[in-house]
Amino acid sequence: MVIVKCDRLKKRFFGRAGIVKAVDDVSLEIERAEAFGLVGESGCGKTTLGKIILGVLKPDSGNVILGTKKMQVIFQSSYNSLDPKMNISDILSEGLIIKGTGQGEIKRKVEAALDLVKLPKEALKKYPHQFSGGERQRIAVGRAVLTDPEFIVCDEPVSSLDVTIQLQILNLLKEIQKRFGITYLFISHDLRVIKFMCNRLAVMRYGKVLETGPVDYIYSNPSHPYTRSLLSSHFYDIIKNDASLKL
Amino acid sequence: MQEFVKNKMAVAASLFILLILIAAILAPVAATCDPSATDSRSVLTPPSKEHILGTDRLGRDIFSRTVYGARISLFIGFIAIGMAVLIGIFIGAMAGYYGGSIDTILMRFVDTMLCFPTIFLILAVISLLGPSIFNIMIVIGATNWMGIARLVRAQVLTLKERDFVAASKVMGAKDSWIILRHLIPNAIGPVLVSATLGIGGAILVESALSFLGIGVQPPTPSWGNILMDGRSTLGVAWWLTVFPGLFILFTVLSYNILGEALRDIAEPRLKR
Amino acid sequence: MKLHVNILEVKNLKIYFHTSDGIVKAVEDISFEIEKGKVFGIVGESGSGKTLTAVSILKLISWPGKIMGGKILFNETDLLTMDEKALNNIRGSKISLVFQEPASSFNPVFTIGEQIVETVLTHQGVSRSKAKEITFEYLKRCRIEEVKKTFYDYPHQLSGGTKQRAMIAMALVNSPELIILDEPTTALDATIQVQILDLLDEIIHKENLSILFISHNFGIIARMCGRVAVMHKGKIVECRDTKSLLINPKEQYTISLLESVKALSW
Repeated sequence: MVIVKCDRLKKRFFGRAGIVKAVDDVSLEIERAEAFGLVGESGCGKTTLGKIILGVLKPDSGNVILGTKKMQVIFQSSYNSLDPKMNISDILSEGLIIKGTGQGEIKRKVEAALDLVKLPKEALKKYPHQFSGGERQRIAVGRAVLTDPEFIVCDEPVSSLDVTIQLQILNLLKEIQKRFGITYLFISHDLRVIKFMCNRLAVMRYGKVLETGPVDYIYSNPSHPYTRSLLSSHFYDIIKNDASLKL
Repeated sequence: MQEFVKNKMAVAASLFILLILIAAILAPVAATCDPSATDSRSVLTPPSKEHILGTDRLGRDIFSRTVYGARISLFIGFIAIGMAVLIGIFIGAMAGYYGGSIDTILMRFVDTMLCFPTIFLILAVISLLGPSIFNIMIVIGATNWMGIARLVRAQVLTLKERDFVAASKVMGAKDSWIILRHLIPNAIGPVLVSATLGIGGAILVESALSFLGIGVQPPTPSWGNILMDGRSTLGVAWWLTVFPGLFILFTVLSYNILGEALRDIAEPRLKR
Repeated sequence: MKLHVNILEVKNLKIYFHTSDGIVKAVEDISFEIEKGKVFGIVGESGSGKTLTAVSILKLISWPGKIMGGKILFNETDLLTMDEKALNNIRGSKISLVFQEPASSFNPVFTIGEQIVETVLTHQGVSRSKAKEITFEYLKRCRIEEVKKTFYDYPHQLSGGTKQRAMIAMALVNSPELIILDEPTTALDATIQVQILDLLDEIIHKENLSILFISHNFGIIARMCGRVAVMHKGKIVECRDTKSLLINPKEQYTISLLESVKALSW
């Protein structure tokens, strides 16, 4: 069952260097309960596409058909994505207050979410700057999960974190997906993260989708030369087993 | 906070402001005499044990008048700037958040307001509506909000691009929620700095207007009209002008020092 | 004659930060040495003190950070006891530094060429035309395609990758004895990153350079460096030749770090 369907989306920006086609004729479908990866380098339009799907940006043409209204988002820089003037309790309960949820239920849900992302109760009275990057990202995950979403856009959720913390957050996201059957759109420049999280992916460059398919298939049979160069660019990053090293 | 405590000038300034504030609030207790009680036996007496700042030509106690004057002057300063802050935040937040033609219209209005020479605008309005404490507050407030509006607009322009605003939108927040819960709380720091500096300015304007006779009307004492009262007898009774003048000087100076200290504290946090 | 010559020996280095909340021991008693003609890596997560260690070698630490003790022996002379004038002779000529952010490493108001020529003139005592010649040669050596155009470009006119190539050219131009690379590719896109790393790999081996390579990326360190130190919370956890460290990590921290890297590999 399709939960998100993008049909011929286009979005242009007017910059100093002229018109930038951030999203140029993109169509894709995301199935319910899958983790769909969107891969590309900086400026390829992946974040813009994510914001269009979320409804934060309006496309110039084309449309997005959504199978759910319960959407959430987790951004890259967790410092930017949490209001520095709000304490964690306010940050977590924001979505519920907007929906008009009752006090008792808010309290119960906030505590459950805190438990889910493995943060202590004392965290509620603190402010974002009092946490490490990984903890802040846990808070962002908690906020996203609180409103019982069916679809979450994760925009580079781990790219500013250390590798051990990356793994913790990714495992947390996986666990949440398993438990609640959430659909992810996973935006990343890092093919390692996509490989770890996703079952299908789309490769983007200059606002266009170059190829789409199952992760395992594309990683072993990339059809587009750009996908190939992207895959080989991780040569230095990965350590698979000790024998594969050229030392 | 530690930074603030280290700044000795700022601490001294806040203590002075606090002192004046307490004196103003507790004026009936603090004042040694009734500020409007005349005493024909002690006219124009220099500072003494009985009248520590001397008396004026009607025999009224200058210290008591200054304390009651502080009430009026500070009240006008606070309310006028409070008004300016509210108008400035409203206009600035609207212009910054909605952008486009709303921004253009509001900001051209700000430019137009800035083009008027403020003091003449005030003179014109007062001569039209007549001098009263209420009118003075309104007119000072209405001519001091433009800087704050620009400040808020600039803050909002960058704040609204931050991810927590997008996250809030995704959760279905209305514009009013985003403006009130996210944008204004994050923009308020520099506004408070600007407002603190503005209070000093407002007190000065009030004093100037009262001095010119179109501000607070006698017999209500304000620092400006105490100063004016003393003008005619400046040659024989220096205390009539020097003491209220010093109060104005130190109060305005204190607000400026405090404002600048607050800015020093607020700005590194903005960078972070 | 000694078989192994150490170009750099860091002994018991301590760097503390004096904050209003007290002293933070950012680097606590670390020692390592870099052999001449070898690539030495420091790997660690953010806040481990690795960058601080790198900049302390040229004494580029400013208050509230302070070097509280230890020795930094460069060709057997202690850099920490040297005066500023002598240090300035070493900075940029005998030891050079490449930072993470190519955008902030160049001065935006001068062309790339002018800035490289200037470093040549400061340290080599050659004529301006000779310096220009040298600059062209090094830009070419760093595989910059349009050398002439790049020479006359301002930093903002270059792509991130080209800027970092130019930065490497500037680091090489005075034939330094030691080059410190501090996360030289972290700010770049993956496809550009691999190009820069390939270039570094090639230059390092062709010219037999002595390198201190700092990175948070274990994979990069593993492929670039013969010996590696793992830093964590201001201390060196483990320091050995890369191969034996990878095959047989001894400390718990190294093991968990490697596990994370491997879990994210394919």
